[in-house]
Amino acid sequence: MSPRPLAGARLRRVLALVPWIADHPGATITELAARFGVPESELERDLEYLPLCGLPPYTPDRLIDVEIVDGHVWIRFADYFERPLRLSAEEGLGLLAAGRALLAVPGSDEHGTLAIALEKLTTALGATGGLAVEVGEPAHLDALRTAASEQERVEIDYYSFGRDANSTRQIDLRSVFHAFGHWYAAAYCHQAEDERLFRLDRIHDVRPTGEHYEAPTADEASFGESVYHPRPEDPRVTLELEPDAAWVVESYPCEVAEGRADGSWRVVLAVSELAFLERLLLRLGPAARIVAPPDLQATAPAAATRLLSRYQQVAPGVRG
Amino acid sequence: MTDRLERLTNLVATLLDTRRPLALDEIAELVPGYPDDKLSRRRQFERDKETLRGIGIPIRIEPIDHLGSDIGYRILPDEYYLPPLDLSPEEQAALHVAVTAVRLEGGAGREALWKLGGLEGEAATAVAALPTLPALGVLFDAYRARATVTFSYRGATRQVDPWGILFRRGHWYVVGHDHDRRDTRSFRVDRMDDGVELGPPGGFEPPAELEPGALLRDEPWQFGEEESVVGHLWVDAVQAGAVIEQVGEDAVIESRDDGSVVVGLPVTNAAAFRSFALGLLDAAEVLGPPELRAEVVRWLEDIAAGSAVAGNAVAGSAGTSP
Repeated sequence: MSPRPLAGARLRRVLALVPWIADHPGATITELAARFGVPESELERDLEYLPLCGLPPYTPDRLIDVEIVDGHVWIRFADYFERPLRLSAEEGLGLLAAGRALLAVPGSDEHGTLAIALEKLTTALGATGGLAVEVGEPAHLDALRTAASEQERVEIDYYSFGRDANSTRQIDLRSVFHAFGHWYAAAYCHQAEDERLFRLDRIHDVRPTGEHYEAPTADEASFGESVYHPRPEDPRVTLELEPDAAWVVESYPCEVAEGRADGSWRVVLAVSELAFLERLLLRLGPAARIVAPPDLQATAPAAATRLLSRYQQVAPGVRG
Repeated sequence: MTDRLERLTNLVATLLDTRRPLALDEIAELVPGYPDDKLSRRRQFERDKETLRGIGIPIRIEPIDHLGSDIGYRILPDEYYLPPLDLSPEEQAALHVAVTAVRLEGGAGREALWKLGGLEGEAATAVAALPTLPALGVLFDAYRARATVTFSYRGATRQVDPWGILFRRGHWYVVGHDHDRRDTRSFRVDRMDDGVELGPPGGFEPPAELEPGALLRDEPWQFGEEESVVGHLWVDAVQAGAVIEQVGEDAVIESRDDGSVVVGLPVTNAAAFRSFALGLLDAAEVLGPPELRAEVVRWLEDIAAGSAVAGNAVAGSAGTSP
């Protein structure tokens, strides 16, 4: 790891700050602090050290001249910092990715301003045509985003994948967001009487109720956390995995994961719903074996038998 | 003793201002704060250089004598300065909204905006989170420079002309021309084993009017080298919507009155196709072609018999993971 002390981070800001001030003579400290997202005191520290810098032999005419009068700032003799540092690959990619992702959300760029900004950025970065961000557009995205912004309670038909069951619920939306490749609605669910996360592609219908609710003070949606939180009372299943099934380890929150030299694993998973376990075992087939608890060892054979009964009937057939 | 930030600032100014590469001894004379002792001077300069490169400052190393044994340092203005973007305040504000609405995990959106004139307008509430990966910046550079990349992928070394970078369903992909397979291939960036090496710039030209999304084969059942067959999958009314969202409207070959659908998917990895179908449990059935259906039946019969037959029909093969 390269050393990444504070000096680097501050220099980064200063190298952007100086050209901006030089370009906007007399800007106020208050305005600068807001524009660069730092406290005024921090900004003042930047402006204090700058007059000590410049070019050899560091005579007054070679030092950066910073003048502050009544909270207004002027900078002179810093021609070499007349333009900001170019964007790094990570910064450029980050800006374009964020912009394109937002552009893909319906209704987020009504005036086309973002599209123009991205066009300019793409050209300047020499990245024309090469970067695409898809976030998908599930059927009820618009309706749910509108309901969230207008704080209107909605009734949804929801398919719970874990339980393999349908339900109808009334929910008060907190936020609608895209994370881990899916759209989610974070909401208070009146049936569960608790906060719940719903995947939009499993919401089959959205109906307005006409009722409105008071949103609690804005808590940011916590994207960073795993969507499934095991509860202490969820049953734990111990699995033996062949090397070919090792992807399970990186794909699910395993509470225990012991890898062996031959590439096989022993893992412990919290399993709140039987359907989840069925899916996993049917997909893995001989690559997975339940070690404990014994009463779940019949899960896979039972599920396979159930599905087989469908396959033993005459296939529904493809038209034509 | 000179403050480190002062020294770094003077160093950048001096290296930007010079017309010729400067040897370390010259730098130490011009920029106050470097120790007299040669070894510690070198060490301190290397640390400073690392820091400057870490924030994206392009420091060049060039020979400064005829023999090429002594080297000097400088910053070329053309490589340093941001080209004029001419963004209006409204456009700056739109970018501010974008980087606050779309969170890039570990990304430096705000710092990037500093360079474009700071945070104009208001921040937005978050609507999306995208992952970032260390290899992405390198791949983006390779794309812009038209440089062939070499990396290790599932244990094999691949040489690829990166035609484009694409984010879909939670993952970053590179699509491009695979030198060994002599065909278009896509790669999940988070599955690249370690370092990505760049070839010389200008190594290829991507096809005109390229749409990375149209080239991406990101479905597990397309990640394989088997001969392609069209797998027919029946999906019940409840799951139909989610499946169509995943595979696209174009894949639907039959919509039934009860709301169920039949989708046709190009399969080059039969195990992954089976895995997808079985993951839907009772909501799906592989209808054909007969060999795919028979394979699913055999697979289920083995599980139903409780047999632990190890062998080649295992669900995994890295490509089938979700």
